[in-house]
Amino acid sequence: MTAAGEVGLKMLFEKHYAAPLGRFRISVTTDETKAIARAIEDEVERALMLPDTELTVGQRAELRRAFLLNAPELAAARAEIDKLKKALPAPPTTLVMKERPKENPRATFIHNRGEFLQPTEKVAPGVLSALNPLAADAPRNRLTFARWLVASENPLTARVTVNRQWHILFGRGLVRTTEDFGLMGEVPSHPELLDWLAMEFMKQGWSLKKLHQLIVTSATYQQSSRVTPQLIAKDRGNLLLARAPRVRIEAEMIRDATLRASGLLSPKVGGPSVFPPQPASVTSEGVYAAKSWDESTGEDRYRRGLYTFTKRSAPFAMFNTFDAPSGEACVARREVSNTPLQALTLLNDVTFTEASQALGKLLASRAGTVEERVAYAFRRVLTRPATKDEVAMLAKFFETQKQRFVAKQLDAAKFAGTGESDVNERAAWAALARALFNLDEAITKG
Amino acid sequence: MNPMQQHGLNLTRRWFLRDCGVGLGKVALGSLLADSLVGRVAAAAAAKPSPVNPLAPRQPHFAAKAKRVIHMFMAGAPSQLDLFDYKPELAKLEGKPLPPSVIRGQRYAFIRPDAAVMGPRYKFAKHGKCGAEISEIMPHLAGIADEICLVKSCHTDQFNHAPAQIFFNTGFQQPGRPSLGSWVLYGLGAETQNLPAFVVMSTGSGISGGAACWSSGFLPTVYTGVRFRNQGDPILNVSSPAGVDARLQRDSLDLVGALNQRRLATEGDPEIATRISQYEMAFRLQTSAPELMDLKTESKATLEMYGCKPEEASFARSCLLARRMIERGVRFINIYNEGWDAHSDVIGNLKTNCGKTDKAAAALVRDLKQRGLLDDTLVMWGGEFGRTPMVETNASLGRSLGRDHHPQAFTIWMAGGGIRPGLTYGATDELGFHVVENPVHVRDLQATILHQLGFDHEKLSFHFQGLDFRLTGVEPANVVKEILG
Repeated sequence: MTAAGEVGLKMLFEKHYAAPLGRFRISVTTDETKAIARAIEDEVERALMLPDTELTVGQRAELRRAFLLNAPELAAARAEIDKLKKALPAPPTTLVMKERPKENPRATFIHNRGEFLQPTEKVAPGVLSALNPLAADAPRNRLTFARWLVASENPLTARVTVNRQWHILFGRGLVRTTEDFGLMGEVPSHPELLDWLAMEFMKQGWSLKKLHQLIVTSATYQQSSRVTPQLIAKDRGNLLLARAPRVRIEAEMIRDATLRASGLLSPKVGGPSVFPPQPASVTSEGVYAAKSWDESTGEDRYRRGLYTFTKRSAPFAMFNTFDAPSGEACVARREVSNTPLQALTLLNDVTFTEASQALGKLLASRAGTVEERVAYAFRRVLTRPATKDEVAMLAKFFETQKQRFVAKQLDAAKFAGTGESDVNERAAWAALARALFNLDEAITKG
Repeated sequence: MNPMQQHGLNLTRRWFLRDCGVGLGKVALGSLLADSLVGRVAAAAAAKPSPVNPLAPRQPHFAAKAKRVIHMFMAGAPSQLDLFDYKPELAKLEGKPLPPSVIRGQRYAFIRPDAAVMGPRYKFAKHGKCGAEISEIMPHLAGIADEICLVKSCHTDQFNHAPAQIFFNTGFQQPGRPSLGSWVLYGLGAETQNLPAFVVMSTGSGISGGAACWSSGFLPTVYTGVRFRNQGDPILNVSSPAGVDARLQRDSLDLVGALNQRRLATEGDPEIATRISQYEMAFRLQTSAPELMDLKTESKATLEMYGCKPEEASFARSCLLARRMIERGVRFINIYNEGWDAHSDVIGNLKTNCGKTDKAAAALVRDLKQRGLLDDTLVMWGGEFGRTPMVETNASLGRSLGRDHHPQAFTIWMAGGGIRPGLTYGATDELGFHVVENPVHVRDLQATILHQLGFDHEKLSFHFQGLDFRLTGVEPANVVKEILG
């Protein structure tokens, strides 16, 4: 601008979605010199202006640092250092909770029907009056609460934990309502056992591994699940645990167990989530922010179920079908349903088909008679030896299907997947593997 | 018979064993038996969900007007002010802000409370004998004005899409509660064993509420809505893998069934009996799903009435499939059409969305009526909230002549299922901002739908984590008696 006079500045404020413009400023100067952004920090510039004798030790170090970072003659060395630094693996990080400073605690209120705009009574930190109290002199903070939670005088945490582990192993907790030990929950079927397990769990340093060992090596756990009329007459629901329970295993475990028996399961631990195959329509149709489900290939296709990517508005179909909760609400106890959609998944889903093909390939290239190989497959999938009758039924099925493949009534190449050995053999063994994976016993612990 | 088998038979799922077991489970015979058996079970069933088969048909609390529901969910929220709720006053005030006394402190996501008013973008006329006011952009709906009941006084608690959609479907704004369809299955069970009883279809751009909108929440997962897909298998995995023909599938099921049967004999676990029967139902689904999807038997006139091309996934095809599902005993159907979120260009948005939905939605009502199915099928059409009388304009987002979200008032329509046809119920103020006559909260709609299905919404409950939960929650909810026929 050259002439003097008034300048009008018109500003239009708008939001980009929820974000309006942040702090902004307008600077005005009468200086004619073109403003240039400096590369040098204020402190460094101030230090440079000082005579050498007046520089503090700190300022000297600061100047040295600025020199090392900026001197053009050191650029090559710096590039080398940067490269080495970049090659360093980043340490894993996690978010942590931090106590607020004592002088600035957060005021907490009971809100009217949970409405966050309607705070009512102000409350202070504490524990339920019905339980053992907090130490009188302890500060009311998170650390105190954490100590109280796992104190040996407080068996509740351990009881709830061992009950959940019991539930996982037996399909039913000693307190059936694993999510509710309160007034509305059910009373324990074996209170002394629950208490003893809780004490044992604490004594063993809260080790879940040791707890699992303790339970699975017990006579109760190792019983047969077979029932007799006497057992039925006395205890239809098996509350008294005179026999082992039969429990349909959880969604992720069904997938893992099938992949394991087929030889496909990857033992790799950790890393980013993976995208095992599922029909494209699960994530592409009617889904908010639809995304294509780029199927993982190689090892990542067959990782354990817990590494599967989760999309809130479109959960992984196979898990959903087998009662895995969506993660939207906290669920301590999963439903166990028994539906035709589950049958369709085990019969027809890509992962289960690939598992059948893999086991089929393995069986086709294995030495031995048909009966021996049937027995081997049976043991692999069901973890028990087959009876003679069972072997006979399966072998007959195998022979029938093999004949159909050989006679070209069925397209063996389509069904068998890839492999070198005889395609009809592989296809017939894959059909047998598929039948085994679909047995009730294959997805049931008992 | 050995004692183990006896035990199995004594257990509640005994008919599965006797009649759906291996050998008898061939398609035709299997389904015939299953249906007649279901009939027998129904006669004996009480109003409480039976521990036997969670989908066995059950009687509601009282005689029902409707047996089935089709809910066309217009996700994104259509503009009631340009479709149903005619406000000439807005045209007069166009360009001027609304007084703060009307706004009452409402805050908006995109517009300012003093944004200018925008008049109706389409012309309105009175239609049918009842004289219902409907916009020119919905000519087909105008043609069935005497069949529908317009409720112009709906309002909701929720301002954003996902919570409002979840709230409309589950009575709570956060995910985790059972949806209306799940409650209905829990209360009534299924009429068919050959198709899923609660079906969800979607042909729009995506539902913000996601699977929570048809989740069974804390009810058993068998009550979850089953998605029918547009591409690939309509029901996931309903096709056998490549290279597997019907005989291999049958042989495999026979082998699996026989081995399971042996296990049942030794273990006596009723879950095995259920598994055997579910495999038979899966086998039937492999036949009944393609049969349902095959529109070759539909006449040219029918296809034309819906505006449906058989091979093309569309809202129209979903509507026609919905009618076929109703004929085959499906209990509850959601058809989602997402895309009504007109933050900009209301005119173009309505042109597109009405173009996709108007003809088919009206055809569905007509078709159900001509087949005598409308009397006991409740049809509902509507979004999760309404749109503002004020204009949304935002140069940086490239928006103009749009409308923002408006929970205070919106319009839905219902037809059939004992709802009074030819009625316009409720009214908003002259600016279309607030409800001034006969307000109908989303909870009231839920209570009304349950009522038509024969349920007292306060008694249809499920005990979970120490509480008796119900769809309508603990806030007041009333059956809208005035709209009942």
